[in-house]
Amino acid sequence: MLLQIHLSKIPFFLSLCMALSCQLTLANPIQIGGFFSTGVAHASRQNALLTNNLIEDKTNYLSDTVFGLQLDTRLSQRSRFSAQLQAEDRNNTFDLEAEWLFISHELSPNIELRAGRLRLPLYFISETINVDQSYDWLRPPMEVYALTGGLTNYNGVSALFKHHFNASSIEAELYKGQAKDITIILNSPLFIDTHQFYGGQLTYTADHIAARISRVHLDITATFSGNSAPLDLGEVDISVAGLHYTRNNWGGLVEYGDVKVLDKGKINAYYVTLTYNFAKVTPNITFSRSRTNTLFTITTVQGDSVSAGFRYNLTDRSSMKLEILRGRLLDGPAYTFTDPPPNFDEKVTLYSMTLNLIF
Amino acid sequence: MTQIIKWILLVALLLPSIAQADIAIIVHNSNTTNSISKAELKNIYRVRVSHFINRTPIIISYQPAEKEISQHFFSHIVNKSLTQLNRFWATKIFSGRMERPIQFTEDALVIQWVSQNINGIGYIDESNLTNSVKKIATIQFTTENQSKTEPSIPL
Repeated sequence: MLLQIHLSKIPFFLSLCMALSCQLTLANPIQIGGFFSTGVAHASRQNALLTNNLIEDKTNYLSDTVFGLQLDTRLSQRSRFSAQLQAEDRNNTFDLEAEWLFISHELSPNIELRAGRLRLPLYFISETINVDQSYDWLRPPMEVYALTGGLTNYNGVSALFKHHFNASSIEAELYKGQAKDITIILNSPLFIDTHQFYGGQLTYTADHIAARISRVHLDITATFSGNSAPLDLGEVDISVAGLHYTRNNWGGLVEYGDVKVLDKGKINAYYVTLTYNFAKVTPNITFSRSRTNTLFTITTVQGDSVSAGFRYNLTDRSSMKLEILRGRLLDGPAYTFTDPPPNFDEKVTLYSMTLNLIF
Repeated sequence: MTQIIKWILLVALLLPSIAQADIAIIVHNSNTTNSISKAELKNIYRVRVSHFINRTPIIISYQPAEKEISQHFFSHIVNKSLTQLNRFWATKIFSGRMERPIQFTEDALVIQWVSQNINGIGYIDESNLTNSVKKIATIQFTTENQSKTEPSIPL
C-alpha cells in the first residue's frame, strides 16, 4: 500500500483552518466529526473495477476503505465555514483531498449562498456518497452513479433556496463552477476539465416521499495521459430524476440518469431498489441497467447488475453491510471491468462486506 | 375474594402503561420564541426547519437512545428512532446542510448548554427545569398516545 498525500493541498487547508481557529475558537469552537468505512471484497474474475477501486479475484482489504474528517464552525450567526478532508483507496493509493471546503452565508433563513469547493448535487446521495452509514446499499448502483465519470465536486458558487410547508419541504439549488479531476479509466489516469459549467437541482421531501430532479450542462475536455492529445467531448448534458418512497417497513428507491453528448449520442441508466426494515436489519435488493447508443464515450457503461445484501445497525452510529453483486457486461469498458474482457456478455460476481461508522 | 385479587393485579399491570411524564422543551432565555407546537418540533428534528422565529439558526441537542425520555421524545414527537434519525442526520451533516446535533447524557448538561447557547434547543424532564433556561412547550407523554415509529426517512 502506498500512502500518498497531496502535500500541495495541505498547507492551504491547514493555514485556512489555523487562521480561522485563531479568530474563532473562543466564541465559536470548531466542530470535528467524520466517518470511516472499511471492508473486504472478492471478485469472481480478475480486474473487476468498481468506480476507481480495483477488486480482483482474491480477497481485497482496502477497496472500500474511506476515511473522512469534517470541520465546521460558525463565523457569525449567518455565516459558516465547513470542510471535509477525505482519504480513500484508489488502486492501493490513499490520496488525502479536500472533498469540499466552503464558506456559506445566509441571506435569510430561506436563502443560502456558498462559495469554495462544493459537491456536485446530482443524485440523492451525491453529497454523502462516501458516507456509507447514510444509505442502505454497500455501494451505490454504479450504472447510475458513475455517469459523471468520477466528477464529484467543483470549484464555484451555489445558491440554495429552502422552504417548508406543514409536513414537507422544498429545496432548489443553482450552481456555477469548474471541475478538474482525475479518474481511472482502463487502468490509465484520465484528466477531466469541465471548463465553466452550470446546473441546478430541485428536491421535494415529505413524511413518506422524496423526489429530486437535477441537471448540469458541461463542456468537457479529457486527456488520457500526459502525452496524448486532449479529447474534446464537447457539450454534455446530464439529467437525473429520482424518487424515494417509504411506508411502514418498506422502502423503494429509483433513480434515472441520462447523459447526452452533443452530436455524439447518449447514455441512460436507472436502478430500482427495494428495502424492508426489521428493526436493526435492512435487507435490500437492487436491479440496475445502463445502455448507450454512442461509441464516443469514455465511461461507456452498458450492462446490467443485480445486487442483494443487508445492512445491520450495530449502534446508532455504526453498521455492518454484506452484499453479493452479479454484473453482466454487454459492450465496451463498463464500470465493473478495468479492461474489456475477451468475451462480451461476461459476468462477474462480487462478494463484499463493510464496517461503517460516523463520529 | 379471587375476583378482588384479579382486579388488583389488573390495575397494577395497567399502572405503568398509563404513567405520565412531562417533557419540557427548552431554549435560551433570550430566545423570543414563546411556544412551539409538536409539528414544529418534529420539523426541527427532521431538519425541515433550521431557524427559530427570530431567524436564529437552530442547533439540536438530544439525549442517549436508551434513556426513557429519548424514547418518548423520538417515538412520540419525531416518529423516528434515534438510529433512523442518526442515519438521516448523517446525510445532512456530511453534506454541510446541518450543524451537528449535540448529545448530552443528562438533563443538567442540556440545561447548562442551552443556557449558554442562543442557538440551542433541547428536551428535559420538566421536574428538572430551572430558571436558567426558557421553557417553550410541555409535552405530556403517556404510553397510550405513543405513536408507532416508522422505519426510515426519505433521503
